[in-house]
Amino acid sequence: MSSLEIRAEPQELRRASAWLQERGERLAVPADQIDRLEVCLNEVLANLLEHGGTPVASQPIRLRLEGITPPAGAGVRLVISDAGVPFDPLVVSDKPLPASLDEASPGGLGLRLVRAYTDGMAYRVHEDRNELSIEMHWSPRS
Amino acid sequence: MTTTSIEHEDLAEDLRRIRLSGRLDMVGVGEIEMRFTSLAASRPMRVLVDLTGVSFLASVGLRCIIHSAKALEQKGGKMVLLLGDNTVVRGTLDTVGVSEIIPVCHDEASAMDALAG
Repeated sequence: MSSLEIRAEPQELRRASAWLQERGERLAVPADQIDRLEVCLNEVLANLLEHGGTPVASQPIRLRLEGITPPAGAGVRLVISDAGVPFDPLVVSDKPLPASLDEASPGGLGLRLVRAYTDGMAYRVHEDRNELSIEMHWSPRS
Repeated sequence: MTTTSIEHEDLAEDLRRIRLSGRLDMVGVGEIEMRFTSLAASRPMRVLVDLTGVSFLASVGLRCIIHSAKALEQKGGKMVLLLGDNTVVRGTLDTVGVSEIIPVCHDEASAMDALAG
């Protein structure tokens, strides 16, 4: 199954993770890439559950994973579509890394992970839904 | 999909080992957060948090660890993270800078040294 619909509930994050791992294996995505993509998926979905508001709970969240051909090597694109409050993660900048525990703040960690782990992100509003695309690229192994 | 568990052992009056295992995602952290905070940050002591058995670490897990490490430090205690060869968790800790603010060790002997220092 190349796509999945989930409800905006914490337990559904694990169903989404299991689907991603299974689908990634079918598409021959390297294990380290799929593990990073799983972190990204988890962070985006957790963010939706926390900040998506009432609209996100009213309609399913749709996930799609597809193989792509980047300029060099191979890749996959994960598309996350939701009916929550519009939010473009690309316009939010990362806070500086804390120099001490005292300076550490809990916010922004998830988005920092997503930015660090992906090779490409795109956001648009399509048919009244947020659509976030996350790409992972890798070189074929000899 | 693995479940999440927490175990602890008091190695001395002021030295505690807490072992977390499984997935530290939204569901997993919800299951262990209160107990972890209570074990890790209720009084000034040295706390070794063993993450060698953690298979997945999300930001909600990072927030839980940072929150307790901060509370523990404010009480005069100290937390050290033990990773072993858990490269998945190491990558996450490095990416968000946690390994710069909470000591991270690969083996128990160096973790004990870090706690003694």
